[in-house]
Amino acid sequence: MSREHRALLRGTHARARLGLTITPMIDVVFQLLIYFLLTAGLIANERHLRAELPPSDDASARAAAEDPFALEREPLVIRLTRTNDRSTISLSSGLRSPRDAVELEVILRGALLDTNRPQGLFPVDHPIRLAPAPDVPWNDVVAAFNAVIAAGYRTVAFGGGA
Amino acid sequence: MPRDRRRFPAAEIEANLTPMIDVSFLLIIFFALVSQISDSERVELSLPRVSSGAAAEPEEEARFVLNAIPAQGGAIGGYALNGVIYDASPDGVARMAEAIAEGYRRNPRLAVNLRADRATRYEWVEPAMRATTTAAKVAGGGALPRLNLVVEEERTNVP
Repeated sequence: MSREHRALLRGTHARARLGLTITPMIDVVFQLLIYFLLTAGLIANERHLRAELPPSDDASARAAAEDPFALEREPLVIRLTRTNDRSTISLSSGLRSPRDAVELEVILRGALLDTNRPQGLFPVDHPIRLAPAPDVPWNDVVAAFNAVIAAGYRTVAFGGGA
Repeated sequence: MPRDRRRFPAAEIEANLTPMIDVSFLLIIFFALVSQISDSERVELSLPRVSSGAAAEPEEEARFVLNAIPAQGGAIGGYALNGVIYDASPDGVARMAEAIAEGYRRNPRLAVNLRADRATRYEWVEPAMRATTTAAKVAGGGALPRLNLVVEEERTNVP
C-alpha cells in the first residue's frame, strides 16, 4: 500500500469527526421568538381597573343596623350624560362640573380630605357613585372611573344613571 | 497493527439532536394549544383608553373573562363568558349570572375580567356588571363581586 493511499484512508475514515448540527436549534429559537413577539404585541398594553362592587343592594342598610350610631354618608354622585354626541360630567355636593375626565380628577383630588389637605371635603373612603346614562360610551365611563381612583378614592359604585 | 487500525476506524463523535427536535415539537404543540385557549377568552375589540394612574398590571389569579361582543352603533351581539356565548336578553344574562355563580361557589375569590369595546353604550355593559353582583349574592359563602375593567393604557411620550 502506497503512502498516499494510507494518508487518504486516514483522512476519510480514521480521523474522528466532531460535528454539531445547529440548524434545528436555530429553527426552534426562531419559532419561539416569533411566538413571543406576536403574543407580547397583543397583551402588553392591557391593564386592569379594579372595581369592588357593593356585595348587595342592602349593604348600607345592614351596616346601619350593625352600628346604629353610624351616620349615613351621602354619596358623591358623578353623573354622565350624553348630548350632541358628547359626554358631559356633573357632580353633586355643589362641586363644579368638569369639562372632561382629566379635570374631574383635578377637582376630586382637590376635594380629598387627608393629612396634607385638612381643608378637603371627602375622606378616601367616602362613597362615590358613578351614574352614567344608558347611551354614554363605555370609554367615557371607564375614563371617569379611572379619574376617581387616580384622585385617591377607594369606594366607588356604579348605578342610578339618568 | 496498522492493518488492524484500518479495519476498525475510530468511533465518530456526533451530537444526537433527535431529543431536542422532539422537545421542540412538544413546545410547539404546547404553545399552539395555549394560544387557542387565550383566543377563546379574547374577543377582538377596541378597549377603552385611560391616560394614567389607576390601571394596574393584570395579576395571576382565578378569573373568568367576560366579553361584551361589539356590534354596530354601540350595541352588542351578546356576551362571551370564557368562550361561551350568551345572548343579551334578560334570559341570557340570567343564565350567564348562574354560570358566574357556579364559579363563585368553586372559588369565592374569583375575579371577573370585563372586556367591552370603547364605543359600546353603558346600557349593554351594565347588565354584565349586575350579573356579577347577582352571582356573588346567589353563590353566598362570602363571595365578593370583584370586577376588573380591562383597559388599554395610553403611552405618553416622555419629553
